[in-house]
Amino acid sequence: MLPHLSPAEKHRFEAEIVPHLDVLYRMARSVCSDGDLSDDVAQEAFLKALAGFEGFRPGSNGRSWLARIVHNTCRDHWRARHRRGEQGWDDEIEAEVEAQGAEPGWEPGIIRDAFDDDVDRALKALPPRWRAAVLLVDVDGWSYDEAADGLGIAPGSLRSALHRARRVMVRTLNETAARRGRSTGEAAT
Amino acid sequence: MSDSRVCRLIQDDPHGESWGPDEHAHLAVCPGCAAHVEVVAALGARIAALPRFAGGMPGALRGRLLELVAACPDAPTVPDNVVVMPGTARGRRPDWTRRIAMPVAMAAVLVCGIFLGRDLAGPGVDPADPRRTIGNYISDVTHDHYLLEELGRPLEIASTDREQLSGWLSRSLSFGVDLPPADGTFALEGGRVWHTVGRLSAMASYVTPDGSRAILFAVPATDLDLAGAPSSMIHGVRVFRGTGWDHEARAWIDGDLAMALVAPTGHLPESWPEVFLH
Repeated sequence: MLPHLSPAEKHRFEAEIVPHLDVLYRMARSVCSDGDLSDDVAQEAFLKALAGFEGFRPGSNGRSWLARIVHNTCRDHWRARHRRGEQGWDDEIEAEVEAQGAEPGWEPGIIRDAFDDDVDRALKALPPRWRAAVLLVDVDGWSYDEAADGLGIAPGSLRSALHRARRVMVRTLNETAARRGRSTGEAAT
Repeated sequence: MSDSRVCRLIQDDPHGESWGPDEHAHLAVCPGCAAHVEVVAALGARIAALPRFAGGMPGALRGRLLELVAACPDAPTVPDNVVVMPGTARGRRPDWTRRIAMPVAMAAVLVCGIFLGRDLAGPGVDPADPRRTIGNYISDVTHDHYLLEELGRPLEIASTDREQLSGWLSRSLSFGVDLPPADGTFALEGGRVWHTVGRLSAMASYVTPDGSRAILFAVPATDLDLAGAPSSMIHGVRVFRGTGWDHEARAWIDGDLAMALVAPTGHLPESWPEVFLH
């Protein structure tokens, strides 16, 4: 059911929230992985934003406000799937993913030479919260504070999630490159 | 700062959000950190270029979402002939005002209590509130004409129905208001809650066919000192008269209420109070 909005509120919504639709879309695509589901999640999050716009304080950060809604909507969908026996959202899965290997070698050439499918697979293998963090900070260039606000977590937790997510992605891409016959070099720290 | 600490800081913040000169200098001489930063940047660029992210939201989905905004039904709006004053706007108050409102209100009550208690306990003080006189009432209502002249017509509710407006005012105030019938001469157009001679009051606005406007105030008559203003009897009711701020006013007691009539133009025709005294 659509909420009642005055013409002024519609105008304000269009000015402060609509410019961030790409953020909404990429987050939904990133976290949900499944293309059809992500469109549904994007639409559901958008409806929630419309319905909750009364609570949006003028002048506050529209894109992190929207990101929080998308994140929560994705999490709800994810948990619904988890109840049906699929992968979960919480720290348990994050710890499980992180525990799978040692510090990777950080070689830019491996990342640059990877196939798109390999990069996409490495991203999809991350726990959803890590994916959202990588998307906001490493892809869209958000500050740590803003991304933490958008994901509803502490900045320290965000940094930790990012560090682990990058390490897991790089390790996955190194392993893929090794399977394809390319040397990954030594850990460079 | 030690090299290992700088390495850790750079690798924890590869986008350089918190870097200083030390980190920039270190980056130029540490291949490990340089590679780390380069990998993170390359990773971000590769993800951004993935087909499922490139290009942003598809036009069809975007169009569908924008249609939802346009399809939202309009919220009820204030009627055209109502001007809501900034102080009475029903907007959401900022968080900080909500947080401090209660402590400020409690402090104000405490301070008022101290002052009032001191006055009541002091020798030779008239316990009657000196401000609540019929003369001050007339002075207040004549002054309040500025609401209509300076701010337009600041009505909180537009209503041509006497009973409806009386009910709304009564529910909004701590006393009952029964607006008198205007005998067909004046058409009721709306009203608001106001503040007169130290009490909350009701205000109703009437307009004549030629566009003249009259404002009727009503405030509890309890403790209102009726001495000090000239009066005459109209239809068996004592009507007080006075002038203030170049405006004429008439006041009378109607049950528990003190009514006052004022015209925004200043001149109050003799026949106007009679309309409300039938």
